[in-house]
Amino acid sequence: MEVPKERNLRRGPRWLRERRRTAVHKVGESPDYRFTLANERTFLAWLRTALALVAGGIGVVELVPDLGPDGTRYFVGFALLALAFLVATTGYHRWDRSERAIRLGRSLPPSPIMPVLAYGVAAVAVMVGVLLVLGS
Amino acid sequence: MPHEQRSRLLDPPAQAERTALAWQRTGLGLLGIGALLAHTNEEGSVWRLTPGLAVLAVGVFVLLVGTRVRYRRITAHVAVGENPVAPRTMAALAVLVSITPVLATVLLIT
Repeated sequence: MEVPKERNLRRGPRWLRERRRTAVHKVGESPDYRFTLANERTFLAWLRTALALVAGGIGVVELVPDLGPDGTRYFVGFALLALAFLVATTGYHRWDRSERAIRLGRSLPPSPIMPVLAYGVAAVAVMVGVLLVLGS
Repeated sequence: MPHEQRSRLLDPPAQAERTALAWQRTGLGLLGIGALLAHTNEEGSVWRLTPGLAVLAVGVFVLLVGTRVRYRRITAHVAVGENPVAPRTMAALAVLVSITPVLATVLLIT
């Protein structure tokens, strides 16, 4: 099976070059639909992760005024909202890359957001833990 | 043909159903965020209520329309042996979800 070459113009910023690429459904060959749906559910799971981070961000600022000083709560809240924005905005790109990899029979691309999210959530947990201990 | 029998035929390992449930959970998540955004409105001003209501509306749409339409499209594609990939739907949902942290930030700093 001949794999169609990716039309990838070399000039311009990365996001623009990727806009010019072949449409995702024309790359490679049509895979087992279960892979496509699994990729879709993973994408939806990332979006729900972003929504959960938004809920955490709003919650820490608005719903628990006794948790600690305003400055600290706002810092934690905005950190969560920034993480949410990062996860949500990179979600589509991740889905697109995975779908292309599936269609080209390649291994799935690594995800640079994963460590950022893990360490970010861990840092938030530590900060909230410290606030709880100091407040008690 | 009874519905159960037909959907078993079109959706052997419940792939479309699992995907529909994932869409449903995402819609519920949007409803939750919409409610939280509306909740931050302490002064009761109309414009501060708008973002929350808008996200609630998106959540209701995803739950009642998006989930169902996507399920039907997936089963229809799979039934004729086509791949059910939907890049524009993914992009649209990604944009809608990406807006929520921005709305939350704006509401919290104003």
